[in-house]
Amino acid sequence: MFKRRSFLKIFSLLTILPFVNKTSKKNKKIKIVNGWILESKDIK
Amino acid sequence: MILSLEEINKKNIDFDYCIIGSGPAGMTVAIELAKQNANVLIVEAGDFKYSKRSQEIYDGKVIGDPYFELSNARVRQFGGSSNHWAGWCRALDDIDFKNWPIKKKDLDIYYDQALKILELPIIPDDKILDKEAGIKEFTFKWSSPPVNFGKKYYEKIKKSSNLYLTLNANVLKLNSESNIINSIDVINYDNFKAKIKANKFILATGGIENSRLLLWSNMNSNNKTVVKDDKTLGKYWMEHHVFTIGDVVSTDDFKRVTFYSLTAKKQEQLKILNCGLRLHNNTPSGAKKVVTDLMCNAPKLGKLLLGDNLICEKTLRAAWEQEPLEENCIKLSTEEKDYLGTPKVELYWKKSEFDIKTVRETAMQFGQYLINTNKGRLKLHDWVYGAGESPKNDELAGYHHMGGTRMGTKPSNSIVDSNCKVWGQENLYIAGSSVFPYAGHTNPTFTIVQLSLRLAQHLMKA
Repeated sequence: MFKRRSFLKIFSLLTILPFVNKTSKKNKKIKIVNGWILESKDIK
Repeated sequence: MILSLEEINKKNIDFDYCIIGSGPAGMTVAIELAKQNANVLIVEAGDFKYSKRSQEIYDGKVIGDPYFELSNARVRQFGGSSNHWAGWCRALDDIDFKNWPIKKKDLDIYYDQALKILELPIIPDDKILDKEAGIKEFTFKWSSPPVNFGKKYYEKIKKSSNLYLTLNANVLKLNSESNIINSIDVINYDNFKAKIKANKFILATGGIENSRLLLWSNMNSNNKTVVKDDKTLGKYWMEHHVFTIGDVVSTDDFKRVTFYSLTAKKQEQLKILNCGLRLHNNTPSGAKKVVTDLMCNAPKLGKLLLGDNLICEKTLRAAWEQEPLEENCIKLSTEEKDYLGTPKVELYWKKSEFDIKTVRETAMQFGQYLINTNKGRLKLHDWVYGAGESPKNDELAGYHHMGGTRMGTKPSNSIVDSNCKVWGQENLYIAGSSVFPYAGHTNPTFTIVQLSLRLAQHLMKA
């Protein structure tokens, strides 16, 4: 039982980790306005 | 030992090596070979001092994009173009060797020796700043004051008993018999002519003249006996494009000048070549103008920037790699000759769409990096986006002449093999940046010295 739980814990961590990694280092969305390379929220 | 052309002719010395040109490439090879007690002769067309009569031989025509006067773009003097270089040094990146027949590790062996010759401190490794945007910071080190190869080695040559130098000696052509260069025709400014013989010849006259001399020697020999397969001779010539490409408004107090480029992975992903970005500080009046422009385009951000944050405005410059193209080439003029009778050079040189793509994509990633890290915002000039021509009054290029006698894997795609030996010749080698098949974005002198050390090592083993 203990072994199964540990396995599930590790498995769930492995599936979450790449996602966390990806979102924390993702390029922010850009928009070009009159030559300026801006973040989308700069102009909202 | 320094001898006149007449003395060289009279003494009838058995030279193991004859090196044509005394710039960073030729001098490095000569100094290394002379250490092995070989009889080495350096043939230099210029004098100790700059002279108009020597320099005007470099006159030529440029067809294509705006470029410097060819008579000012290099120096025909003892020490070659090290008489006017700025001293910027850095080794090429791994990715720059992707299409070379040798790899970075083949030159890394000579890294420490090149540092010593160019009187440089250790050059720090690149630092990755943003993996997603693919931005890394790189460093140049300056040979300061820039090493002048003539001044550095003058005394050594003067005192040497096996390293010879003859000045004011213009090589007119190379003479070949079968697959051997048996002599070179040389003339001084008093019209004294001599044939110089040696066991091996090393051509080191720079990224334009190496092609010119070989093209002319081929034209003067029966059945192109100097460069037997000349399909690529003079072709795939390259420079570094150097332009101001945009303005940066930043909340970060960057150092005075900082350098950035893309990681190899990002270059491959974007399918572009290598490009170096330089961030320079701008004047406060320039900053005002750009901040106002930014506020008009991004009011919300403008308000944020006018808070308590420091505002610094920077100018973004780029020096980047040119795509090697067959049509960018050196040809011999059919109309004009210099006063010694050699046809003048015609240089065909133009930026391609791909060249513009390289700088645009790199700069876009830098803009992305500024956003990701919240360090500022970048505005690129219209021509970088493809609207209109690049300015004619910018830095334009780096005075870096590369290609024309490129290194490759077979005679049909190159002039020299991986040891810088001309295909089909037993005893003719080329030193210098004319052998670069691809250029990277980095100033070439450091690589020229590394390659020359490698060539000397190869010759000593042969």
